[in-house]
Amino acid sequence: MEKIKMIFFTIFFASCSLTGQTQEVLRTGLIRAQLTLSPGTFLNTDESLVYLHGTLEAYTDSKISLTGEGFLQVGQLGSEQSSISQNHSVFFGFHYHFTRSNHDLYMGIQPGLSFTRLNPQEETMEAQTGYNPVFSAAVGYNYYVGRFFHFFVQSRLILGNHMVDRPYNLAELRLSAGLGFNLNVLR
Amino acid sequence: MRVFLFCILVFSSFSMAQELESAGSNSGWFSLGVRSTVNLFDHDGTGIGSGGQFRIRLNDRLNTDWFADYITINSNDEIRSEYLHIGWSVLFYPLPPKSYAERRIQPYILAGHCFDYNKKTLIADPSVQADRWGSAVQSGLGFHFFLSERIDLSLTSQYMIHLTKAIDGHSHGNGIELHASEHSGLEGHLLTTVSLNYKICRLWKR
Repeated sequence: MEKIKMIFFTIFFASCSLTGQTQEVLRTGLIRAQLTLSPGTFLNTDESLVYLHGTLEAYTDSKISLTGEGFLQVGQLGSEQSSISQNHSVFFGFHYHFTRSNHDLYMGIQPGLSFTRLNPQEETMEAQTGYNPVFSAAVGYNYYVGRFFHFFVQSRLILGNHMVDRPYNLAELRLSAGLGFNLNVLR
Repeated sequence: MRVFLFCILVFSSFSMAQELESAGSNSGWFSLGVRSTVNLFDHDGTGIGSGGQFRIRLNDRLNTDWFADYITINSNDEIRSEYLHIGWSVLFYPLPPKSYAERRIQPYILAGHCFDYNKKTLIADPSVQADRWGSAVQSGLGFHFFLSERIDLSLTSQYMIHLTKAIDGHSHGNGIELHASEHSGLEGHLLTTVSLNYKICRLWKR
């Protein structure tokens, strides 16, 4: 564990020192991508799921980015079976960024669609998939430690309803964090 | 991935190549945006929708909004009501246009027309369903809040009146029946939409 910590901090500080030598990262043409595991908690039921969260984001200038995000449900937290057996979702929208140096605080509103399925209440029942429009608002922070990668943290509020088989409120708070990759594709 | 990168390159190229608007010269701007809609005061209940729109600005005082929405409504935990709206609105700006630095908020009045599709399904028994195509008119108020010279956050509240016979659900002894109403009741719903829009390019200059 200590070795992992040492490697992590070595990479972090090496990247920070590289930052000063490189050109401005946060500008038009920056492409950012990340893939991470993201926990989410439903606000009405306290049930928690785990998602594989992928993001592809492109900066049209230093303040605005076009972003597409996808969440693939891969599991659940807790020992009791969750009411919901599938909750994949996709979002598309813009982020507005407050940038300073390599610090990037952002917020955005992203409409999306979720593909949900509940665990049947009776074994004989077959669960149907619901296609539900959802509203989401995201707040996050990126720190660009170099020309090629950055650390990120994001929280997202999702509002919507599943209405197949039986109603289920999809209001949920998700948290994502990790290491992402970035590249300036325009000079 | 290739399509996404191509879109970004096109967006960025237009962004860099074209000068930004100045007061008195706004016609021809083409904007693209995404929207989330909350459905209120509908006899079906409340619901949430997702969609997108593009705008083509005609002159300093007039803009057009071309949209598509998919809205689902939970009616008393018994009926799932799905609406698909495809339509257009004209936005009138009562205040004269000013540059981004001078005015961050631009109020507007809008009115328009849309085609709508409604499908209702019993949640407990999906085999019971009914649908219809129709037409609707909408009118409302809203404002743009400019986050930058090219991007705006818009909030709109509009009342949409359906010009078609509604699908009603009626309880009977052995369940709920769905069928078209006998009369056009001009029933409708209040749609409150928040959208983010990005000015991509100018289709013409005048």
